[in-house]
Amino acid sequence: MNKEEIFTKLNSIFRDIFDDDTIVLSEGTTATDIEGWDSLTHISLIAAIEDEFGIRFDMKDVLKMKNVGEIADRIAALAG
Amino acid sequence: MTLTSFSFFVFFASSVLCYYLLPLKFRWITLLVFSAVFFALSSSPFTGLYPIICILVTHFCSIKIHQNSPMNPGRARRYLTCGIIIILGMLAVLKYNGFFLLHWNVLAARIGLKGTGHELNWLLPLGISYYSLLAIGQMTDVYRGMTEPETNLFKTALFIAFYPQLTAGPITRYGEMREELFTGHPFSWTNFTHGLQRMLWGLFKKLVLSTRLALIVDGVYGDVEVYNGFYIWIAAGLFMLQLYTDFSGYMDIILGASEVYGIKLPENFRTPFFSRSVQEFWQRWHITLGAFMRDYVFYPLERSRFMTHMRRFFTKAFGRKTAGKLTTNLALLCLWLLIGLWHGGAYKYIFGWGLWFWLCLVLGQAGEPCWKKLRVFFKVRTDSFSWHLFQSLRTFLLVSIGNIFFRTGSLKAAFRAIRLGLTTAVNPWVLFDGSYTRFGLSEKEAVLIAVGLLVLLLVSVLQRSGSVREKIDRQGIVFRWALYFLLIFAVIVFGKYGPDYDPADFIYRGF
Repeated sequence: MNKEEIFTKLNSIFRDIFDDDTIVLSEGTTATDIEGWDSLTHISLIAAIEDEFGIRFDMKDVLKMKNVGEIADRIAALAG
Repeated sequence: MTLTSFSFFVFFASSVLCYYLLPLKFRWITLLVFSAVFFALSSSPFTGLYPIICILVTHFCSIKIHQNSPMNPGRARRYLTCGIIIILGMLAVLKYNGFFLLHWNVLAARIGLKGTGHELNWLLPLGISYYSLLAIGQMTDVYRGMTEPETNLFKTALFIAFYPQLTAGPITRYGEMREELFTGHPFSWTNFTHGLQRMLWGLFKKLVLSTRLALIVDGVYGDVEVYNGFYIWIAAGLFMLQLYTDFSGYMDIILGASEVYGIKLPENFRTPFFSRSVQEFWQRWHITLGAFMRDYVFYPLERSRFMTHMRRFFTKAFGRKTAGKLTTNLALLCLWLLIGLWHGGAYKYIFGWGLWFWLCLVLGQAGEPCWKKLRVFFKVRTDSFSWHLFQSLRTFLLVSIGNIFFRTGSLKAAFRAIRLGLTTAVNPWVLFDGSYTRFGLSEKEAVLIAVGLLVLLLVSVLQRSGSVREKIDRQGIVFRWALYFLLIFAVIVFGKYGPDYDPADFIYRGF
C-alpha cells in the first residue's frame, strides 16, 4: 500500500471521527491542527485506523505517534 | 519531617552542601542517602520495609521483563503481571483493607456467613500511593519497550524514593528522570535562585493563604446545620482555593527544592482556574496523575480485547463514531472510579472525585448539540472575554461541588451539606457582614486573604505568558530584591504558625 492510498483512507477516517468534512491531512498535521483531537478521541481514532487497515499498533506506537506522517509510516510498516 | 518544618530546611541545606561538594558522578548517591534519612525521619522504621520491597520487585521484574521481551513475550508479560500484583497487593492491604473488609462483612452477613476479621491498623507507609505508581510505570515502560531497565539497584531505589517527590509526587516516568537524577548537575546560580524563589512562593501559598482559608472551611463544614445556605457554597469555593494553595504550594516547594539540585521535575499544575471545561481542568490540575491514568489505565483498557469486541459490536449497531464514544465513556467510567479510589477507600472519593467528574464530562459531551443551539439562540460570542469568564466560573463551580464530597466526612454528610446549601435561607449577605469573624479570622486576616488571592490571580495571569521567575529576572536589582524581601517578610510575619500550627497538615500528603 502506498502513502497516497494510506492518506486517502486516513482522510476519510479523520473526517468521520471529527465530524468535519473540511479536514485535509498532511504529513505534519498534529492534534493542535484538528479541533477535538485530544487524548480521548486519539484512542478512538487509533481503533478506527486499526479496523480500517487490519493492523494492530503496539502501545509504544499509540503513545509516541504525534503527527499524521508518523501514523502513516507505522501503517505502511505494519500493513506491508 | 515535613517540607514546611524548620528541621526540613536544616536537612535541605545540609543535603545541598553535600551534593555540590561531591564530584558530579557521586551526586546521585548524596540524594539517595538523604532520601533514606528523610524517610527514616518522617515515618516509623517498620514502614521502611514497603519501599524496600517495592524497589526490589521493580528492579528484579524490570530486568526480567527486558530479558524476556524479544524472545519470550509471554514470560515478560507474566513478570509484569506479577510485579504489578505485588505492588498493588501491598497498596490494597495497607490502604484499602478497611474498605474491602467493610464490604466483605456486609456481603457475608447477607449470605449467612460469619463476617471475618478486623481492619488491619498497620501504619500507612509514607508516600505509598505515589511510589507504587512510579514502580508500576517503570515496569510497564520496560515491557512496552519505551525505556531500558535500570541495572543498578541503588539507582532504581533513588528513582522510587527521591525524597522531594516521595510524599506527594509529581508522578514521574523513569525514562524522563534517569538523566535528571543520575547525571550530576554542576552548580548553577540560576537553578539555585530560581529553586529557592519557587520554594518561597510555595511557602507563601501554604502558610499565608491555605492555612487561613482552612479556618473558614473547617468552621462551616464543622457545623453545616448552623452554617447553611450561602455559607456552604462559599466554603465549597474557598475549599477549592485552599486545596489549590495547599497542593500547588507543596508542589512549588518540591519542584523548587529539586531545581536547587539542578533536577527538573514535571509540572503538576498549569493555572487550572482558567480552564473552560471540566475536561480541560483535569489537563491542568494534578497533571501527572491524569497523564499516568491515561497512559497506564485508560489506553490499555480501551485497547483491551473486551473493549475491542464491544467497539465492533457497537460499530455494527450505531456506526463508528458513536461506537468510539460509547467505549470511551465506558473506559472513562472505570478510570474515574479508580481516580476516586486512589484518593481514598471511601465512597465520598469514589463519588465526588470519580463518578461526579465522569458525569460532568459525559453530560457535557452528550449535551453539546443542545448547548450549541442555546449558544446560537442567545447569540453568544464564543471568542469574547465574558464567555470565557463564564466558562471558567462554571468549571470552578462544578469542581467545587465535587470538592464538597472530598472535604466532608462521608458521602451522606456531603449530600446533607448540599441539601442544606440549596434548601435553607438565601443569605448572600454573609459575604459582607463580617461573618468571617465567627471562624476566628480578624478583619486584618480577611484583608490579607483577599490581597493574597489577588496576588495569586496576578501571578496566574502572568504565568500564562511564560515563566514569572524569568520575567522577574529581567527587572532591575532593586525591584527584584524588594520583591524577594516582601515575600520573605510575608511568609515570616503573616505565615500562620502559632499554637495550632501543624507542619504535617498538607492535604495531599495523606495519600
